Formats: sequence, C-alpha cells, structure tokens
Amino acid sequence: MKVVEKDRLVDGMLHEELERCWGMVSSLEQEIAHLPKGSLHVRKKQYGEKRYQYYYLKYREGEKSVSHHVPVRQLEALKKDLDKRSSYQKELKAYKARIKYLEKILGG
Amino acid sequence: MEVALKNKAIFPKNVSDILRSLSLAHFFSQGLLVGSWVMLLYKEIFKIHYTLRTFDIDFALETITPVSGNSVDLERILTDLGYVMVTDYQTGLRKFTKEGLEVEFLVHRKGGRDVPKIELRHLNVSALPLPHVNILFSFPIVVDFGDYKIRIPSPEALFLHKMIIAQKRKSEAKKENDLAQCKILSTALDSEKLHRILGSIKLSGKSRRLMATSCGAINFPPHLLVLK
Repeated sequence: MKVVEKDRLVDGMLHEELERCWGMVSSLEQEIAHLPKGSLHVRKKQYGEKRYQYYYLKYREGEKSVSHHVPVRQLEALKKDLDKRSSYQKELKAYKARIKYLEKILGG
Repeated sequence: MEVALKNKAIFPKNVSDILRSLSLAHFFSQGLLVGSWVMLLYKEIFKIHYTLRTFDIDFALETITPVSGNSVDLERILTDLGYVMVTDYQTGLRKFTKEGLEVEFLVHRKGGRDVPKIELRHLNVSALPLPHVNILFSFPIVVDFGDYKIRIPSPEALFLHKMIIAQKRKSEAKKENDLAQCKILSTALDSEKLHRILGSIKLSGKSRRLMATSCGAINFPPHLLVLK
C-alpha cells in the first residue's frame, strides 16, 4: 500500500500542493514570456586612437543564434530584466522539481 | 496576550527571515501571521500538536485603509529578501515566491461580493479578499522572539474562523484540513475567551448554520458556541 493511501487528509493536502505548484508554474511561465531572453555581451573595437564598446544581446531562435545591438541608454533596464528572468527561471525550476516529487509520491 | 518564547528556533530560516523583516517594518501593528505556520507556535505555547503544513505563508490585514503613519513597502521588503513577485494573470493578484515558498496577503471581505483582489497601495501589495478574516483579529496574541515580535490569532479566533470557512470551501481537502485543525484546537479552547469573541462579532444566520454543521462534523457541542 502506498503511504498516501494511509491518510486521506495527507493525500488531499498533497493534491492541493500539487495544484498550487502547477498554478505557480503557469504564472512564472507568463512572467518569463514577458522578459527578454539571452545573454549580454560586449565587443571592443579600436578605430585609430579611439576605443569603442558595443553591447549586444545574444540568444537562440530555433537553430539560429541571433545578436541584437543594445544602445547604452537601454543597458541598465535590460540588465535588470535579464536578472529578473534568471530569478524567475530559478524559481520555475524549484516548482518543477517539487511537482516531479509530488507526482511520484502520489503515484501519478 | 503576549508570550515570550523560550525556544526561539521554531521556524525554518526562510520563514523567520520574513517574520523578522516584517516585524521590523511594523507590519504586525496592522497584520497577523495566519495559516498553517501558526500551528507551530500553538504547539510551543499551548501544546497543540498539528503537524501538517503547506508551502505558503499567509498574512492577514485588518483593514484596507492605511493605519496613520504606517506605510510599509512590502514588495520592497520581500524582493530584498530574494523573493520574486508573480502576478496571477487571471485575477491580477500579486504573490511572492522564493525557493517554492509562497507569500500571500489576505484581507477581510465585507459582504458577499466576489472581488478577486484588493490593491493596498500604502503597503504596495495586492491582497486576496476573504470573508470572516476580521474574526482572526479578535484578541490576537503577540509572540516575542527576543529580537522581534509578531502577532498571531488566538486559538479561539482561529477555531471560530475555520468552523465557518470549512463549510464554504470548494476543495474537499481544504475543508477536511480546516476541520482537522478545528478538532485539535477544540481540545485547548478557553471557553470564556470563546464567548467574548462570539459576543464581539456579528454573525449572520447563515454563518451560524455553517458553524453548526462543523460542530456536527467534529463532534463539538454546539451550545458552547451559543448555537441550538
């Protein structure tokens, strides 16, 4: 007999927790969808005496690797959004791991 | 009632971190820690043993209007602790989460109108309006952890609250959990305090009938709740 079958109360709570996790996964995925993906890179170039820095956002679109130039005025906001996306992804991973665990003990 | 804890290591670090930060921002002058985490404190204070806990922390707010001179940026406090804010796109309700631990705010809902969320601009969060949250604020307990204090509902207030809401639950699991908590709480109730709370709140005939149904479910004598 599975452990969860021994106690209907615990079983119900675990199902509730599973449902809560799925709800949070859905919300986190929506948050992530609204944020830019990829990583920020810098190219340094020298023209004569002058040295220039160009920032660009690099990400994958299917098989293709895409690079987008990022104007300096947008840099701080983009960094914040990339950090935010990374935090959301970390959180999403935690919830997915918990879902996997809950589904295992619930026999799903 | 104020209780100074001898054993201060009751909560895991992530929970005590939130409680400390909220306490230092004077959140508990207008709010309470509610939900299953309170049972850990009841175990310490009243020897009430209830081990089931969820992975969310709920805080209840007494009023939707600012308490004079007491604006707290809850979003800032939680994001400083590493929480991310997540919006429920169906309801617009903002929640916070970190490593699977979810923080949510509740507020008393007056009347029967079903409102998905209330924006609390003075606290920079949104809260889920639920009926009968006001009961939880009857005779709350101040818990002193030494370097910070929090407020929780009294067992009598939580008991009455759950006796009503258990019968309103759509989820059978939540209803059973509420009733199981009521059954455990019923063993440690102060009948005088119970009557004082019952005398201080207005309950509709419907709420009384819901309490009577819960009394039947947990074999609690209805006359102790002034019910027929």
